[in-house]
Amino acid sequence: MTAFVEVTNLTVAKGGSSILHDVSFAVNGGEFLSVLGPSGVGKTTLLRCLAGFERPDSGTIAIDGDVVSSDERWVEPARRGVGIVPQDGALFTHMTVARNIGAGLADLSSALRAKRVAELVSIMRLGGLENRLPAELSGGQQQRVAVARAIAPSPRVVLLDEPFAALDTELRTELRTDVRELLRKESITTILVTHDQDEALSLSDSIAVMRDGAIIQTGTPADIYAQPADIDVALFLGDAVIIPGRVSGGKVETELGSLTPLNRVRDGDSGFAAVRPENFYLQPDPAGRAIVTGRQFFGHDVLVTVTTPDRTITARASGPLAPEMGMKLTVWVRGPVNFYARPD
Amino acid sequence: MLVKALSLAVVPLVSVPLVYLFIRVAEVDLGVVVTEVLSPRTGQLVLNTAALVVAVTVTALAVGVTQAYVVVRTSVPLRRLLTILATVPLAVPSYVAAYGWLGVVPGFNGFFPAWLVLSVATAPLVFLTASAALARTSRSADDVAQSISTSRVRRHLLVTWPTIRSSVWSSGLLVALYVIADFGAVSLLRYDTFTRAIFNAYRSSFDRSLAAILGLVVVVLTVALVVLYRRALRGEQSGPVNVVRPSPVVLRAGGWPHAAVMSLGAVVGAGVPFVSVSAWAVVGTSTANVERLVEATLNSVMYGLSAATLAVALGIVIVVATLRYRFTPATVAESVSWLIHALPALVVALSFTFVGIRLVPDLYQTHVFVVLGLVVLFLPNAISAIEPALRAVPPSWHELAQSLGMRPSTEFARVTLPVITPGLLAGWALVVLVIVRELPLTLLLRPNGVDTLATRLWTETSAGAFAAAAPYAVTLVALAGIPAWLVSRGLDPQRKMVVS
Repeated sequence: MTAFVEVTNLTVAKGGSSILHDVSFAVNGGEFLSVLGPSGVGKTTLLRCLAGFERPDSGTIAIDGDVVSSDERWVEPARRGVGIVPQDGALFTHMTVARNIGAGLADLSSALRAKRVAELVSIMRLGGLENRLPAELSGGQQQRVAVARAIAPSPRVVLLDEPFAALDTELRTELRTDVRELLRKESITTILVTHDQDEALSLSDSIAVMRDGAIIQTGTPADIYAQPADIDVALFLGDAVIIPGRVSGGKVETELGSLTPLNRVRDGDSGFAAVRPENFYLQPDPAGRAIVTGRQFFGHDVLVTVTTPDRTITARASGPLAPEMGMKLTVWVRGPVNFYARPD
Repeated sequence: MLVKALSLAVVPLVSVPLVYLFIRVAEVDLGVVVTEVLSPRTGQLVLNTAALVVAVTVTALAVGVTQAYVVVRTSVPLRRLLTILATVPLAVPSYVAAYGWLGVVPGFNGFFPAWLVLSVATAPLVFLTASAALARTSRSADDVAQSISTSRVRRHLLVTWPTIRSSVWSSGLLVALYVIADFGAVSLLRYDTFTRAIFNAYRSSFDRSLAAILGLVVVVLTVALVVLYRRALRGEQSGPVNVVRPSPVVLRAGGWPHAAVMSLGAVVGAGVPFVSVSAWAVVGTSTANVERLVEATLNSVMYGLSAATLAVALGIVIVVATLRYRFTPATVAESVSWLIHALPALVVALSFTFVGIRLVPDLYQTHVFVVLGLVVLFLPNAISAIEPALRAVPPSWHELAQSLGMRPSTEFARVTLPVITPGLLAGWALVVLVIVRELPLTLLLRPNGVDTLATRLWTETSAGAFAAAAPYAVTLVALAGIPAWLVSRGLDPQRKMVVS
């Protein structure tokens, strides 16, 4: 066992229905893993099993070589060296910011505790708020305190349960950056569960994509974005246009021409190619059969809706060169694409 | 404005009696007041009342919180049944319970019986408040505490106690006020607290200044208690509301010992009065004077219906004037009526007799006067049912209706009233049933020769006529059981909201 956190064949069933099914994954020391999936796929249950709030029906969880949960062994949550940041922060409402951050430091002398609390207050930029009660803080500040409280005892693993979900965009980006930096500095192994693909792609060293209680793909953000395991993952990880095609001579023949497959394909298969919006090339062409029917301007780029004889596609074009409404085009696909064969 | 004019009229109705009590005492020679207040007899009353208040409050808190914890946070079996058992005593007015005990244990008098009967009667108040608060325990905070500490005690101090603390203290205040206010049980069980002494002073002497002075002492003590409580809880934060409940604490031996102890307590506490009432009912029904029973029931119901209807009507006026028009006198009327609600009904009744004799002798000892007294006493019950109903109507509808050309009165009849009607009816029905079990005020203000179920039961029991009292007890429990059942389902008709 070389990984720092190792989850093997974890299964949880509640009231007859299976919530987690044979989940296995590993995280290296100091690594940031995101478990990505839509809500209700069992992400939170997985996190609660790791923290020890829930007992799995079978399977093993090991942290730094210690088995903390298996059929034979069970380690209490407080003895696992795991810190948790729930979605709502869950600050102790009757305690000040400083006492909340120090809540997990009962074993330290009061001088050491004060020192550690001061350190985290400064890192999480909470200076001046030490004596406030949670009710007197903004949502972003509450989450900062929750993160500081989880990290204060220097846990072996930090679990983040969508802690940024309730914040507005600007606060979210700022807090994400700060938290990421803190975790890297303290080199704490981190597992984040989220349904936000941007969050997972931008923060993580690796991503585990979850669906219906099972992990269907793991890899680096770049790998997963470039080579989604199936059409659903492709659609979940970002926009994609799905175009029917057929494999012939190692190429995918589609209405938009002959495309190069990224993954391994078999001659004669029919299925679908997934094309990212940024992979379309829109060539102005008075004789073209496609026409621009919509345009959303974002400054750095433009999302162009193009109606071809067969379908409506969304393409990303860079700002100044984007075609105008009503313009006639020919649509090309740049670079290789992923092809998913229809099961026969 | 009709609404404003009417709410203005409520102010004297609710405040004059109390003001008059002060005037009555002020008229008495100051030396007499000081002598009475400092007399050993008053000292003894303070001690007796305080001892009972402390003993009952501590017992009710311990029992109620334990029951709530077991039912809400553990894996105890038969949870539904235990909840019902814990709230069953609400169906038995304290004086009916006292009657029940006296029926099986002759000579059941003094401190211990009063403590037992009142503890059983008030523990459900704590149970309901505490279980509602416990159900709001946040699962995520409970999780974090688990990842921080292996000690269950420390975890409860981190999460559970802060969540329920203010509710527990406020239910404690509720119990304390209940004990100070209780008249029926302590008078039947012959334990001398203020209410019993006031009643005796009022009945036995020609000069009623002693009753007035004692009444004023109770007013001062009650207000002091409420003020002290508010001081102590200033700055208290309420926790976040979380829909996900923490997982239950698994009990050893499947939780059956806990269930057994809880059921045993309920059976002894509430079961004895029930059995006794039923046993006497068997004897009593054969000798019952049906005509008298029907008459008392009709009187009770008549008082209930007319006072509840008037209270709801005035309640609507007050709530509309405060919520819609921010009319200050209406706010004052509401606050004063809450204060009166916190006072013993007997003292309110006493203040009404002074007003009746001096200012409106024609009204004194008429049905109208009793109904007015009951309205003042139970106006807050009506308000607490009306207010949430009216808050549910968005103010924008009101504005929208006006922009469509409706006059405020048309708007109220066509938009607001249809929406709040279900809430109003429920509140009205509860007030009717709560009034039916009212004893002290009716006892003092009723016209000569008029009896209700409650006064009849009280008179017969005082005279030791248990069989004769039984039919009244049965009818009362049957009627009072309805609001108790609704309370246990979370609709609280007689919650004293002095707290918030």
